[in-house]
Amino acid sequence: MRARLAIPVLVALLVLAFLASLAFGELRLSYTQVLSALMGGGDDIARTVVRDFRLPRALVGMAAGAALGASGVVMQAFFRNPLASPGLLGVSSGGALGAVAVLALAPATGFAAATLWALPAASILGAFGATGAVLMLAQRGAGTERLLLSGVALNALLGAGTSFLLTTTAGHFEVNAQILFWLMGGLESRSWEHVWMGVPAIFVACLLLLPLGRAMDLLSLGEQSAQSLGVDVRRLRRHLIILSTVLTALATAVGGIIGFVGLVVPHMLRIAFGPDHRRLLPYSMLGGAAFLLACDLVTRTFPLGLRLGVVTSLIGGPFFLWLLRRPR
Amino acid sequence: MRRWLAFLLLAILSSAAGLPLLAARPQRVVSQAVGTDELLLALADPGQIAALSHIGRDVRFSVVAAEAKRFPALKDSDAESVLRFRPDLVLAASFTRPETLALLRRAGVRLVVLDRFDSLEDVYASLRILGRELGQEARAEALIAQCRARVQALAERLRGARPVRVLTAGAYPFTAGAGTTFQDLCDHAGALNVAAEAGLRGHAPTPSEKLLTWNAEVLVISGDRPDGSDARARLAEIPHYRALPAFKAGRFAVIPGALMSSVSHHRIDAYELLARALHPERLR
Repeated sequence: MRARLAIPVLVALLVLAFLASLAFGELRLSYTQVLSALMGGGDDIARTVVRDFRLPRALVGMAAGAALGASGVVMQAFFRNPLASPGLLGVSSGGALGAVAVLALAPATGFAAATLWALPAASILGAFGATGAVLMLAQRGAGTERLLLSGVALNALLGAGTSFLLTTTAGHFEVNAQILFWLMGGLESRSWEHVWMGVPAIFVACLLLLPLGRAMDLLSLGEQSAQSLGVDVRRLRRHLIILSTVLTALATAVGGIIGFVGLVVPHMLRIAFGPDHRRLLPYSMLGGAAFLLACDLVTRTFPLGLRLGVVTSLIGGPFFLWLLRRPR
Repeated sequence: MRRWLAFLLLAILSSAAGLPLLAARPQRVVSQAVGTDELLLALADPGQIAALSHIGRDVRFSVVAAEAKRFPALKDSDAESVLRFRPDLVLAASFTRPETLALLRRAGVRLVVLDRFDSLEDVYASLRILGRELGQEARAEALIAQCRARVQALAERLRGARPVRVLTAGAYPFTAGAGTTFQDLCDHAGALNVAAEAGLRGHAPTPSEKLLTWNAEVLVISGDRPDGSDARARLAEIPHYRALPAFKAGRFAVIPGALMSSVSHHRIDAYELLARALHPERLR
């Protein structure tokens, strides 16, 4: 009964968060101003703010949130571990390291090299590199435990690489500020370019993921059971890891490392609406999108440049602890 | 024993003559920050300088990079790197790590921390302190007089000119408001800092949407390349700057990064540069 309400409620929350993202910001605009700016009317300033600042930011936030939510569901199903999340395999760290490497080279190569597209491209490369490395490390045996441990080790390694690059650019404040953007995530200064480079691909990856819900349900019974019920487990695992990597990589490429969305959102929705993956996947996409937009609203209205990754973690961290302490 | 007696005699003679104790003039000065490098190079005899900061020889941050390269550089900013040069005077800035300062103090080295550089008067005060420490008071006073004359001359040229509305823009997501070195630059170059006008104090997060309402006529940017192409390319990636009329019209004033961030008397070069960019009819 509750599940029937899920889609309408989540869609309503998302629409609300999306409209709020367009309506609220530093500049006070009335609802009629926002509306007429969206339609292309009104004064130049309102039009620019709504159409070129807030709209792309909201779209990117929505897509990144959906990607992280979906990716979280996949990771938790894949590892059959409720604590798994997109950041676990080092995918996000790999993405950040890729972007940071381009930035760290920027003072030497001239900033022309660090163009709008080079950073996300490097980030995607880094994310895939990290996944490739984990898969290779874990190939023999390929048990989820081994994969998980490889991810933890790789995460630490990649984090060290990023920290090293951060120290080599000390003194170059602009570069450091941009590196922080990747490490703590954020949606500020997102433009239509970011929308084009991230949103359509995330949409397609989400669509490809949706039909895998039933197979994921079977996988959660255990690999052998799934196999005996006719699931090609190897193929399924490959699809899942590729799609979740693509989603995490794209989310990182347009928004930097945004922790905890992939962990928190699927759990909240699982508690509310049950563990069925056919439902959990679309719910987590909608819920992740709404959650990230809501967190972004907090960063925007907070006076002191609060980072998005900080907000999601401040909410996600206590939630994570609560999950661990909850009696089973 | 004989040397000691000679020293005593010299000390008595020099103090009788009202001169500073000759031996008290530091001979191995180590400077830890680029700002103190710039001041030290202006006042000290080359023989008094033992080492300068590492950044002091980096042309992106230091106005005196070429000159600084003639002296040894600190490898790091920690106490050991400093003490390696057996300094008799260490110059540090307010942002030097407190642990380093504590270690240097414990090592018994004379330490001067210069911590005010928001305005020219702060720079003059630093020059006086440093002049006294180095035994180069006359040089300090001469430099201050020279600076005052240049600032005065610039003010004469700009008298009655309408201040140009400017905004400092960079990829760093902070904007300089009131009470910053950028404000000091504006005050001397016939410019009105729109961020300060809007009520921003210090270096505050850039209010990206409000930028549009501030009506900045010219964007002041610091560029490593003389034409500012590097800085402009960086700004072009940020939608909030890209949307500004001044950006679209290409109205930029480019100040070399080292000058823009200079906290020494060299900032007067930046005043003159910006004034020339904003008021070309008055300064040819």
